[in-house]
Amino acid sequence: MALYFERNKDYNQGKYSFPAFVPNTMDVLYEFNDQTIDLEYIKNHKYGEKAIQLSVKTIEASSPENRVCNVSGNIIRNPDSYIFTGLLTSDEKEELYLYNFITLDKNNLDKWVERDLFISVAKEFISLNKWKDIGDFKYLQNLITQVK
Amino acid sequence: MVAPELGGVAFASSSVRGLTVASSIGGRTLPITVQKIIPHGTKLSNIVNDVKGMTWMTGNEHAVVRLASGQRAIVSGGPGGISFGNGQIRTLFGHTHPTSAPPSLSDFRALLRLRQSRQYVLHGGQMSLIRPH
Repeated sequence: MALYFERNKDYNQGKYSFPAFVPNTMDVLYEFNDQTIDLEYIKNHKYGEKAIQLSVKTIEASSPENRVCNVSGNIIRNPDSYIFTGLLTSDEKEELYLYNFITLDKNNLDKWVERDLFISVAKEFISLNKWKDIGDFKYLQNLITQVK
Repeated sequence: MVAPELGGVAFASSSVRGLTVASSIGGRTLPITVQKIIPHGTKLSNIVNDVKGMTWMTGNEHAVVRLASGQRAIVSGGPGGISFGNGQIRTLFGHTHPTSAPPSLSDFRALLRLRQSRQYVLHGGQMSLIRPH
């Protein structure tokens, strides 16, 4: 989450607040991740509109009513069974793009026909140095481990 | 121009005034709603479980704060953000990422700006302890 001190009550005017939605620091949208940014800056930015679209998509896809397993179609009610890939890449040319916003119930992993392919694609993405985490938590590697 | 931001969660006893925990659908943050006053002596693990459960049930971002009154509380905002009014809270202890996204650059910057040694971020069933680096 982005934090800033309000200078006055109108400080939020003309700004857009992005959620935490870009886990990969190497993604072109990372500068928008968890930031509050002037709308004018966003409007003039090459990726501004895309950033807004994908941030909204992230929130919608992870909302309680949309926690539906892509494999079985069941609503996931147990947080410990929930896997959400989120925005893995904003680059439509990447194969990993196909796995954005996937919701999985851990109990259905055996039935996920794309399981091995996802692991392969994700591992390759990492091996090609296209992914970098900002902290100790390895987001994509963690997803691979959970899906295995 | 990018708005000056801090980001993150305070675990030191620094005063936090006029602070916005931003990021919300539609680009608007929602003001805090106090969900629960935390009784003195409550175990950290119980607080974490409460915050995790509330985030899961509502999809809204939650935080653990010390209010201006001195009471510790769990507060909520919107799906992606919480807005604090000037002087409304003293300390921000922790927060959640309902989107499952890991700690962000903003979270790390907050540690430096608020001179804190650590912060916890709850994201997608995981809890990350981050320190300045």
